[in-house]
Amino acid sequence: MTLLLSVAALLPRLLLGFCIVHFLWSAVDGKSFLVKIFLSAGIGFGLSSLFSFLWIWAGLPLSNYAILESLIAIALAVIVFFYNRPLFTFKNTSYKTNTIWALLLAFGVFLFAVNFLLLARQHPHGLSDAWINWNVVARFISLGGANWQNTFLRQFDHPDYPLYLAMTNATTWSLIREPSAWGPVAFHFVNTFFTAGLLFSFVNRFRDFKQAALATLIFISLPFTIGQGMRQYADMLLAQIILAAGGLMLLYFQTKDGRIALLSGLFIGLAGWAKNEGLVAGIGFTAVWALITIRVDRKAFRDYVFGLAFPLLVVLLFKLFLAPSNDLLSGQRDIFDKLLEIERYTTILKQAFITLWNLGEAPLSLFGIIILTALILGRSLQHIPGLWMLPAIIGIQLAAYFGTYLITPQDLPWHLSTSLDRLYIHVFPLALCWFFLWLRSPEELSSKES
Amino acid sequence: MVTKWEEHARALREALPSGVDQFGYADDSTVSGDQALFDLNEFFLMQYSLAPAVLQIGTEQEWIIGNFNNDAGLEAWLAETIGAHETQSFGFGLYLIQDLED
Repeated sequence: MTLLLSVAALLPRLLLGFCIVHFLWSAVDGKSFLVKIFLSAGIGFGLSSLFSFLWIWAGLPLSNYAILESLIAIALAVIVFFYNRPLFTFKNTSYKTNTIWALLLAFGVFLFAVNFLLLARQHPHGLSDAWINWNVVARFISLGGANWQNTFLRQFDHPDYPLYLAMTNATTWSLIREPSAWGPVAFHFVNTFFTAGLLFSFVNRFRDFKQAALATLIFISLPFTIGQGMRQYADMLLAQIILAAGGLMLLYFQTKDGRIALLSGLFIGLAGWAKNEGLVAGIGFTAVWALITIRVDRKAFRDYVFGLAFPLLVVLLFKLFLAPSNDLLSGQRDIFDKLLEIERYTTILKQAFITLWNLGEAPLSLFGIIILTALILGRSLQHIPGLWMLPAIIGIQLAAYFGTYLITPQDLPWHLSTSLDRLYIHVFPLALCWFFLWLRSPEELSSKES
Repeated sequence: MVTKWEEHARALREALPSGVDQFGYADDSTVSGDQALFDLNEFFLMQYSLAPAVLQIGTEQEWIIGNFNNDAGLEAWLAETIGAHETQSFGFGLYLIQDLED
C-alpha cells in the first residue's frame, strides 16, 4: 500500500513537469508528444526540488510546500489538458509500428519492472551510498524541521552533495506522512523507467519504432541498468538528465526552436543540482552550445543560458552559503606531481578499458557486441544533422572524469574501483542513443532486402 | 542489513531526548584507543537510523550514543573518562549515555 501511495505522491510532480515542457515546446505530433512525456520526470522533480529547497531555506515547513505544489500541479494539468483537447488527438501522427516489436518491448518492460521491484525488495534502503550520502539527507530534511541544516554537520561522508534527490524524497515522505523506504524505491523506479522511455522516444523521434525498441530492450535488459537504478544513488538520475539535454540539443538542430534550447539549458542546470559531476556536464554542454551559436544560430546560446540560469543560480547559492567544501577539492595536494606521473595515466586507462569492456554486467561484452554490430551493419543512410554533438559531449565528460582521477587525493585504485562504473552510467544512455541513431536500423535493412 | 539495523536501533531512537540534536558517538575503538577497531560502516548505519540527530565521534557531548561489541569494562571506562553518568542499554551493544557532569 505504501508503495502505491509513494507512486501516487510522485504523480503531481510528473504532471507539473509535463505542463512546463508542453508550455515551452508545443509540438503535438505523436513522436514529439512521447518525448515530452518522458522529459516530464526530470523537469517536474527537478524544479520541484529547487523550489522546495528555497522554501525550506526560507524557514517554511516542507509539508505546506508539498501540498501547495500538488494542488497547483493538478490544477495546471487540468487546465492544460482541457484547453488543449483538440491537440491531443494526434491528427498529425504518422506512426508505423510493428506488432511483434511492440510485444517484445512490452514484455521487456514487464520483466524490467519485475526485476527492479524484486531487487528493491532485497535492498529497500538501496546500497551503501544511499544511506550514507543521499537518503540520510532526505531524513534530515523530512524529520529535522527547522534544524534540517544539521545535515551539513555529518562526519566522514559528503555533506556537500546537492539536494535534488534529497528534496524529492523528502517531499514524497511529506505527502505520504512517513519516511518509508518505499518512497525512494518508487522514485528510482520511475526515474529508471523514464530514462528508458526517454531513450526510446528520442530514437523513435529521429529514426523509427523498431530501432527505438531495440535500443530500449538492450538498455532495460542489462543487469547494470537495473542495478544502477535500484541502488538509489544519483547516477541514473544524472544519466537521464544528460540524455535529455543531449537529445534536446539534437532536436534543436532540426527545429531551430529557441525554447528547446532553453529546455536543454534547464536540464543542464538541474544536472548540477543532481550531482557534482553534473557541473562538469555543464562545461561540456556549454562549450557545444557555444559552437552551435557560432555555426548555426546566434540566438541559440542566449536561449540555452536563459534555461540554465535559474537552476545554476540555486546551485551556486547552495555551494556558497550552505554546503561544506568538497573533499576532492579540499584534499588536493601535489597536483603537478600527479600530472607528471605516467603510472597514473596507465592505471586509469587500463581500468577504464576493463570497466568499459565489462560494462552492462551481461554474459558477453556489450562493448564488444556494439563494435561488431557497427562493423557488420554499418552506418544508417539517414543523416541526422548535428549527431556529432553527442559523442563530443560524451568525450568531454569522460575526459573530465579522467582528469579528476589523475588528481584525486584518494587512493587511485580504490577510487577507480568504487566509482568508475557509476561514471560510465552518466553517459551510457546518451551513448546508446547516439549509437542507435548512427546505426542502420532493422527498418532500413528490411527495406533493402525487399 | 539496514532494515535489521533499524529494528535494533528503534528503541534507542525513541529514547533520544527531545530538544537535543547533536550526540557524541563511542564504540570499541573509543574505549580501547585502537583506531583499527573503528567500524565506519556501523557509524554510517547509526547516523542513518538516528537522523535527524547528528553524531559526532567522541565523548564531548552531553549525550553519547554507544555502540559496543565488547562492553566489558564499559562502566569503569565511562567513570574514568566522563565521570558521573547515566547509562541506558537497548541490547545489541547499543547504549544511550548521559554525561551528568556536562
